Amino acid sequence: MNLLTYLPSLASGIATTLALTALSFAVGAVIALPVAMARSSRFRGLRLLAGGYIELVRGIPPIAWLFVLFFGLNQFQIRLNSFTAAVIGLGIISAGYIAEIYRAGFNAVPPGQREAASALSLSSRTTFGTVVAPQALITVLPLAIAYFIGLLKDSAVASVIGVQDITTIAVSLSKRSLDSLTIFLAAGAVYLLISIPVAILGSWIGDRVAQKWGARHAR
Amino acid sequence: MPADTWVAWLGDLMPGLLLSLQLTGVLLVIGLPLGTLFAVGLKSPVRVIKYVTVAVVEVARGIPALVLLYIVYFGLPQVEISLDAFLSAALALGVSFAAYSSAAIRSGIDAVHPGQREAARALGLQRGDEFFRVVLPQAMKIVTPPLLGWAIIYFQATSLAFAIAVPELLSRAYTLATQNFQYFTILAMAAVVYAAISIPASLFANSLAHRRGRVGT
Amino acid sequence: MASDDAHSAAADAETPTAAIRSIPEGAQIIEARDITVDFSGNQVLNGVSLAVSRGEVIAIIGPSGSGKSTFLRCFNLLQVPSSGHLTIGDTEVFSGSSSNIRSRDLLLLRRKVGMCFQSFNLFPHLTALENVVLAQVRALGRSKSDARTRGMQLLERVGLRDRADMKPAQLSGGQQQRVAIARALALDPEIMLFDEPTSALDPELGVEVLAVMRELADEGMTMIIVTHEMHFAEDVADRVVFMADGTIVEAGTPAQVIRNPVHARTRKFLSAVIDR
Repeated sequence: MNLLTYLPSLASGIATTLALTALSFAVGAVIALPVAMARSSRFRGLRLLAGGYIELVRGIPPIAWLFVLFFGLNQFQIRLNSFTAAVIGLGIISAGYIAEIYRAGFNAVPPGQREAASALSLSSRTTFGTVVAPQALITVLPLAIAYFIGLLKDSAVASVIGVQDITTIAVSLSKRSLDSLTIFLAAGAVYLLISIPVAILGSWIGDRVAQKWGARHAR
Repeated sequence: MPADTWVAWLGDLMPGLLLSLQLTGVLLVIGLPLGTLFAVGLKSPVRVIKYVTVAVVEVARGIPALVLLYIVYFGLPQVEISLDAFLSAALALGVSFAAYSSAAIRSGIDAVHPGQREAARALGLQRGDEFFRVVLPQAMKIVTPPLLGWAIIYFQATSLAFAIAVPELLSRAYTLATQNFQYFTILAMAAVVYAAISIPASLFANSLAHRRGRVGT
Repeated sequence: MASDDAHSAAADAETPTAAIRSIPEGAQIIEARDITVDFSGNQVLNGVSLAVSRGEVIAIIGPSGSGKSTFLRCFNLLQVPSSGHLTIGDTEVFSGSSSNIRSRDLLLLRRKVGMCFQSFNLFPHLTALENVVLAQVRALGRSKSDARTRGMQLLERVGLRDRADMKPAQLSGGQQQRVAIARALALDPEIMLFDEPTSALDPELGVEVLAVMRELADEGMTMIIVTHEMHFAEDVADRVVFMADGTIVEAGTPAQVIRNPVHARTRKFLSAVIDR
């Protein structure tokens, strides 16, 4: 049972898996901004809309989203290739979760900070950019990194619609061999292995930000 | 598109939903005790047990659920363990559930007031009884909201069983869609069914959490 | 032409913007009149009025829940009254309810009326100097180098020149509050509000903050201070105001209010505080 024999072939899927994860995360991080703002808006309609979006995204399994985008849109003559469908699908889902992460980050900034900025006559734009956002980032980064690592694993569903990632390669290898157990264990090992450097990098980034902008707030 | 066609399709999906729910049930039957076992192992004062448990939990968490499914369904036959698709899915997802929920269960056990254990010992109860009849029931009550949250997540995860041809909700929807070519409508319908169960369930779990006061997950 | 200029200047002088921009020389510098504040049915302030003269130091004392901090916040409209009037100089700048002040005037107001908080609220991700510089650059539009020069002057004034490059986490509570004072002074305000500036500090650290405040008062700054420090109020304040349950119960010189209170409520409060 030698896992190592399969690692090189499986490794060729790493780039796709990482690209898929990174792109979906990026799409989600961008879409999440307006969603998070709508979620905290003064207008009840916007709040409900954003809340509904987040609930919907968390209430439907990722594979179902991908099916709807990849197979479903076909019905309307919109043919997405599997990678694009996966990025859009995972991106939409990520936006829901990342929006909640942004909210947690902003809520973690003590209200006294906004008070002080107002008392200093700083405009809301300046307050957001120079006071609130840097402090929110301290909470957001560790949560976002944890989510990224989760997304790395969730990306495996893309194999079901044909994206050439680690899992797809494992499946095709196992079809041509009798060594399925080893192959899939090796695939699992590859996912484990790539999440380790991501976790370490993330933790390092998190520490640096906490150091630079970090806070022990006054009582 | 006439409404009764939609109703007909919905009716066609129901056996799939039933199977998804059954699958969820079985994976919880496997996963909850296993998760409790992991939780106890994580708390063990015996370092070997603790480290082995940590390793098993980290591995089970670090491997995507889909890959775990493949390991059990395609891989285990290689070592003479052949389970049908349904059981394979239940086992794989059950192990995954156990790994993720072990942290929450452990918090729940920790959250039981130490006075409870003292009282149990003062009453002369043995360690086994102390754990199963005093600590664990209370821990489970505390941990119900986050566990319910995980259960909802894994109910959705049963859709992955599509990949090993379990005729659950998503598979039925896909088959139905290929027969009718109404891919979007039928797949969207299935998605809505998942949401229709997941969303109220998680609102219920949230209300439980608010009523009990939160325990860290 | 000259008469036109005089005419428009006169018209200008009556707008809130002009009044805030340059507060007229008269004796009264700021007044809050008939202020009520309602928090969803709960009346926190019940028609409170206070007029402040230039250079006056006013101490507001009272039990928690009396509404003192809320009232203080009405002076720079961090708290928008449900009803009432705010007058700068002799021009009314705010009356009635929420939407009655332009945001531009609000910013101007907050440059003239500075504030220090019980929890300091220093920006933790910036050094002491950066804290003092930020508002100068962003709100006043000063150049970075001018702002830094002024910032160092102010830090020197509060005795913290050598801590300029430290982050708040590296400073004691008393040092943080002094930086907060420097930060507020950096906008050259004409009135300073203090919301229980020493309540979050150990007595030893509070002493250094009170010393800075005393100097500020001696230099002629107009100050409104919500405080529990009776000795400080007695020594430094020109007027003491006792509030309870959302109204002003008694007001007068420190000798009157602290040493010879008229109302039973005042006496009850003071005996609890002074005889601890």
